[in-house]
Amino acid sequence: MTLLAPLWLGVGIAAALGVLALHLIARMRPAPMLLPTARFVPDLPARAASRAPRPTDVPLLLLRAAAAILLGLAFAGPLVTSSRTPLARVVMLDRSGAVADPESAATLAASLLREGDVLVAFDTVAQAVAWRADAVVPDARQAPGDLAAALVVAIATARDLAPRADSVELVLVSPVDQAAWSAAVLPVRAEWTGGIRLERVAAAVVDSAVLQIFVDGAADDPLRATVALLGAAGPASSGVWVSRDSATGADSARVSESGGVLVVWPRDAAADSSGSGAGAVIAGDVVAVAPWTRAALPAGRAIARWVDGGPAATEAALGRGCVRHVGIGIPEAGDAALAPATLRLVRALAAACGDPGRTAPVHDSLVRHLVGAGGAVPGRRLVRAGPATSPATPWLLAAGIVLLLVEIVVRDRRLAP
Amino acid sequence: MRDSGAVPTHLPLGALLDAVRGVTWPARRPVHRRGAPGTHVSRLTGASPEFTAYRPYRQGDDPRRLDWKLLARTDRAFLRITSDRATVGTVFVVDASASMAFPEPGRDKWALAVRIAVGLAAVALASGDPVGLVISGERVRLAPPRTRRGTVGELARLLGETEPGGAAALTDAVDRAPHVPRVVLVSDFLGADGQTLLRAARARLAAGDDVQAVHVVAREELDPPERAVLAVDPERPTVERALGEETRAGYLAAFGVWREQLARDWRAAGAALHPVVTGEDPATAVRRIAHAALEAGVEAVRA
Repeated sequence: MTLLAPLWLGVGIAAALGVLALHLIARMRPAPMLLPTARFVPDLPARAASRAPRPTDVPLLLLRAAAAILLGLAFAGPLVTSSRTPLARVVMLDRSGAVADPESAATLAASLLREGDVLVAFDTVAQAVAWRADAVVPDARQAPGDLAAALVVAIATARDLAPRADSVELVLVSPVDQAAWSAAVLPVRAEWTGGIRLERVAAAVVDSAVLQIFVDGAADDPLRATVALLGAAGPASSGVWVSRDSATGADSARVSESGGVLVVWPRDAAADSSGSGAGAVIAGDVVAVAPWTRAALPAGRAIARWVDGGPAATEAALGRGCVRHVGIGIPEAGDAALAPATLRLVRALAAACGDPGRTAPVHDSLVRHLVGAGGAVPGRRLVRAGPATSPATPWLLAAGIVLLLVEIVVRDRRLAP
Repeated sequence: MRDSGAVPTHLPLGALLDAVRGVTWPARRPVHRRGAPGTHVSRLTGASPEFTAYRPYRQGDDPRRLDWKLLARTDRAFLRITSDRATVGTVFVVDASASMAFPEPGRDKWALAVRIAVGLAAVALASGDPVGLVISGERVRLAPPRTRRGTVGELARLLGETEPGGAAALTDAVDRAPHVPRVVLVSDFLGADGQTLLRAARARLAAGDDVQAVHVVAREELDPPERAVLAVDPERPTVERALGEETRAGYLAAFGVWREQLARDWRAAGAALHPVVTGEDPATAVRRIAHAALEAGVEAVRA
């Protein structure tokens, strides 16, 4: 049993001791008795204090002390747990595309889990799963991870586990790549007062040497020149299919089944309201400056942005692969298509799904902040911080009140002549 | 016993009446004769055959009382003096205030008062004295003095039907009592009208009547419980006093002083005061009261 507010139990015990002290200092009005000669009794105060060697009126004392302790216990909020473990773990398993070997990561997470622990599997969303032998299933998703979401779910789960554990530990199984990192990670991390045990796994590596891009544009398409100069021109069965017109159903079906990347990059896209002109595009760590034409884009996760923050390219999952819409018009005139920055931009936009261009590991200083100092957090600290209530409180309150009512009846009977 | 009337079954007085059979309760002093001749010595001399003394004839004396034989032998005129005998009408004024219903639940004071009143009434009635009753309770109940058969039973019934309660003044009952030679007050004298009652008794005594006070005291009043209690006066509930170790000695002293003062005041007024304590055998108390009257009567005759 644990107490949500142990101080109240102390208050109840102190009150019971106070009642005991009052019973040792007997100051009471004696029981009335009819006596016709009462007038001859000296007129002294009807109450007198005296120190009794033993507590007076033991049944009343027991009733009052029991009522005080019960009320104190009710306010203390006892939580009765059938089995309390010394240490409970919440294991955050990264199942995003950034993990090089999802199966090994899952096995590692499974080795850390015991009965009563909780697994939080996360990519762009995090989900807590009660541990079972078959709970850890490798899932080769291509979506990026979201470490902040994982921390939010893990901390909430740890607070749920706190009443049943002496201490709770957070374990992170992840490569901790930049794709999973966001500005919200450290503020959310600050909510966890203990340390986070990091089991870092290998991150996925993009092999640019095998990058093959098929562009279905005309022969004079500057993008074809860019891809050719990049040395990545491939056949129609390449992993990256660039459609210079609108995508067809067949294109989508192929990408969805094969797990490739469909890049919808219209050559003659109409300029959006912001117009066109020289501008800079940022995609990951690639910055390309040229007289780009800016086109409107459908909704999706931005993987490239204009310098004003507007999306320059978006990505949406599509079956096992993804589809990207690019709103960057390559100038037909000039050599902008052949500039090195343009080459890097095309490579980034043709990267594998999940923005593997950002699979670079997070800097060590940030990782140290993430891991923090200390270890597991005591369960009572987590319980006290939460708005937990005890189901026994109303019953204990009722029992205390009943005892007080009984005390009134007993006291009246004792005062009766 | 002259009276053989039925006594209510809820007052088992048969043993008491048997115990006081043969007891006489003479007047404490010679009485003025009123009504029929009785057994008590009268202050008046009369025509009874019981010779007492000769007295020289004085002018105005009744010549029928001359001892003619003595006159013939001695040629001197003497009157033949004889003592007269009278009845003594007796009225019992019994206090039925709340203080007499003590201690609960036995009401020992009230029970003892009833038995003493009935016992003395039976003794008086056996001497041919008319016996009456005034009960001073929440309402005054009155039974005029009678000598007829069944009077004791009637008195016992009236007393048995009475529930002590209230705080009526005993003086009112004394004032309403018929004017008879002997008035017996049976009370604890704890009423608020102590001095007024004493004045009323003095008035009766000044009129030549005999006043006897039976002071009923409970043993619990003489020896209250050792445990601490809040003593509450049943007739004046506002009087609440803590009776415990600290106050017990003071209480006993004050109560003792009061009882002594009460006895002095009543005896100084010429009344007889007989203290009785609950637990005492009522027949013994009756005999004691009668014996005290007998001794007082002998002293009076000698005087």
